[in-house]
Parts: sequence; C-alpha cells; structure tokens
Amino acid sequence: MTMEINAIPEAFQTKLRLVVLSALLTGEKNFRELKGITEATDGNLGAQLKKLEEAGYIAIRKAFVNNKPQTTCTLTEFGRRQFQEYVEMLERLLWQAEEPPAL
Amino acid sequence: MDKKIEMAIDDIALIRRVIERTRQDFSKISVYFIGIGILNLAVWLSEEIAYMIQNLTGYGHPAARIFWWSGRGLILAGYVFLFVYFYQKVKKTGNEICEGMVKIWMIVLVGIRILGWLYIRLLPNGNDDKITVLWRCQELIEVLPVLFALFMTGILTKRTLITVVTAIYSIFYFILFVSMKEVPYGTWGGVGTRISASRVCIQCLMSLGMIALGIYLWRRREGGLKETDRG
Repeated sequence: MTMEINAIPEAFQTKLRLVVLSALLTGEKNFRELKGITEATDGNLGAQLKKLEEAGYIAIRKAFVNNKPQTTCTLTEFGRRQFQEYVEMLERLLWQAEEPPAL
Repeated sequence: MDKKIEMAIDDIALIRRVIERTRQDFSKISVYFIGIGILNLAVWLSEEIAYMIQNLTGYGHPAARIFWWSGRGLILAGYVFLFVYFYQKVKKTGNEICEGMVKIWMIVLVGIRILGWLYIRLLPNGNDDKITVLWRCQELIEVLPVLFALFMTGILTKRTLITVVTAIYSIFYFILFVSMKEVPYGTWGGVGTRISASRVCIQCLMSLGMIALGIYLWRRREGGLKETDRG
C-alpha cells in the first residue's frame, strides 16, 4: 500500500523527526552526533527519539562506553521502508504538480 | 503555490541536506589520522632512542637493535590494528567516503612498508655512487603513494586546503630531495648519523602532518541544521 498525502505517518510530521530519520538513513548515530546534526535540546531530541522508537522506526541501544552511558540509534527495516514510501510520495506529488493539466 | 507542494519541496531539500551533512562528517576518520601520526611519532622516538644507545654504548648494542626493530614491528602492527578498528567503526556509520579513505590509506601505508622492505632486499651491496642514488630513491617509494593518498583525501573530503597544502608540500619535498642536503640525525648522547633532509621531511609529514590532518578534519565538522527548529 502506498503512502497518501492525507495520511502521512506522525513520524514525518515534524522537521526534527524527519531530520533524525534522514540522518539515520546513512548509518547508525549516537545521541551526541544526532544532537550535533539537529541542534535540538537534549530533552526535545530524547522525546522525539522515544516516539520514533515506540512507532518502530528506530531501534535504540544503550551501553556503557568508558564508564559513560552512550545511546546509539539505528533505523529499523520498517523505518527504512516507511521513509522510502514517504520520499516516493513527495516525488509523486511534485511530479503531479509539474504535469500539465489534461485538456 | 499549493501548500502540499511547498511542503514536498521543503522536505526533499531538507532530506538532501541532512544526507549530505552526514556524508561530510569526518570526525570518526579524523581519529584514524591522529592515530597514524602518534604511531609514527612513537617510531621516530624509538629510532632516536636506538641511536642514543648506540651513541653511548657503541655500535651493535642489543638494546639499540631491540628499539630499532620494535619500532618497525610496531608500525606495521599498528597500521593493521588501526585499519581493523576504524574500518569496523566507519562501516557502522555507512559513510562510504570514510570507508573508501580508510581502505586507500591502509593499502598505501602497509604497501609502502612492504615495497620499501623488498626494495632494500633487492639492492645490490656496495657503496658506489649508483647504489647511493638507488638507496636514496627508496624515499620516493614511501612518499609518492602518501602524496597520492593525501591528494585523494583532499578530493574525497572536498577540502581544498588539504589539496593545496599537499601540493605545496610536494614542491618543497622535491626541492629538498634533489638538493641532496643532509642533516644530523640521532644526535642524543653523541654525533649520531647524517640522513637526507628530505627523509626528515617525510618523518615530519607522517607524524606531525598526520596529527594536523586529523585535528583539521575534526575541527571542520559542519554545524547542525537550523530548519529543525520549525515544526
């Protein structure tokens, strides 16, 4: 089933979540790296990551590295598929806009 | 313009920027270059210590030989360790540019060691002019692939400064090489020996130069995306 403009999943409805998902598209990132990319506050980023994890878009791994907690995020297969569908929907939308109206 | 179309254009542009931004993050690979620099600095130090022991105790002291050979072993083992460690780290991030750079540098660094060793083994014995020239040319086996890798690093990372500095260094190095100037080396505790100034120039590049490259790539991490404040 293809994604429709009127039924965009919540994950893509805020820019911050969209940036997080786009960043994870090229591989796993830790919290510090995501913070650097998004320039969001710790609280805001943490809340958005939790929402994305609950929706099954990302997987969060917590570990102790050098006696410090480190949070690493990875895009799940579902998240990758949904992202692809979202981009396809955007492209479809732009393509339709460029198409001349039928006579 | 339709609001939906505007949103689609905005989102596609944002996704492109984020992907480009993550591809241009070389902070992980920067530590790799710092590691190479520190390794070469340690080997340089072990060579100096070997010469110092030689100066103080006489030629052929076993301790000097230990320092001499441990330095050579350390560098090869260090290069392999750095490659394995950083290749795994970089592979996880999915940054193809960094992955390619780690591979190029591994081939270059281990390759020059093996080729250099083979070249010395194949050199005929003696100390006439021809052999002295061939002996000096061993430097080129070491420096030419490194210069190639540095140019590749500048091009792949799109950092013009790296390319420009490499070009300036290359000119400087070749002037030193053809000038055949010699400088004292390993002078701690005695007279030491004399080596070509271009050889010292290579050592500076491989140690201080690599550390500087690493620090430069670390500091040149690009900033975040302000657009995320919206929505």
